[in-house]
Amino acid sequence: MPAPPPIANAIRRLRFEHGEMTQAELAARIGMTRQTVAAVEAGKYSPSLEAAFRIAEVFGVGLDAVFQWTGGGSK
Amino acid sequence: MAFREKTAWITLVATVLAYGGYFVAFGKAAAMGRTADLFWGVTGAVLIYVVIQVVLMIVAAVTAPQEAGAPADEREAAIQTGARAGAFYVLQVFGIAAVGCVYFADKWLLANAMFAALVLAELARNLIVIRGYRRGV
Repeated sequence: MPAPPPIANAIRRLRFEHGEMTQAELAARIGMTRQTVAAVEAGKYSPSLEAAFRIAEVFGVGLDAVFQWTGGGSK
Repeated sequence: MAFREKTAWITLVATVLAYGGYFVAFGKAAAMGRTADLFWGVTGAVLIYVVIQVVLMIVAAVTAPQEAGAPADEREAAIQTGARAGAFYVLQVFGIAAVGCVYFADKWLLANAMFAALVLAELARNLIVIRGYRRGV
């Protein structure tokens, strides 16, 4: 199994804070499948920069409030 | 399960059933030196493959009409691209092996070896797609 990308995310919390938005609802708003949102949320897939911005836009926050680099010094 | 993962499973099942059955029959015929016996077998296998594909795809589309009509997103496109690249390597290896048959095999065996290379590449493509969906990437 490949190592997961060194990027954490707060999508689960942000969905909770936005009226328990479902993965399917978020997926529909950013033009992705529910399975892809689930993969992003689980840290198994790093979305493109455009998709990351779309996710942040849905929650009305900046990119760094959604995604955090956890790769240490190799930033 | 994502719709495109379902379609990969469907293609995998159709490939194994239709072409697997054909190659088992061809193998038995070839072992007896009758490589030309299954001349129409390829047509039959293709027809069986198409029927299985069409029936199962319709069932999958009917049970998830919204997903069936939706375009692939970036992750799905990446999975498909990776799978096509992997399948091409499989096609290269078995295609070259099939060409090697020209030194000792008749035209029927050579044609079937090339056909097998295509089928194996298709199997590889769908297995890589399924692995991609299972792993997340």
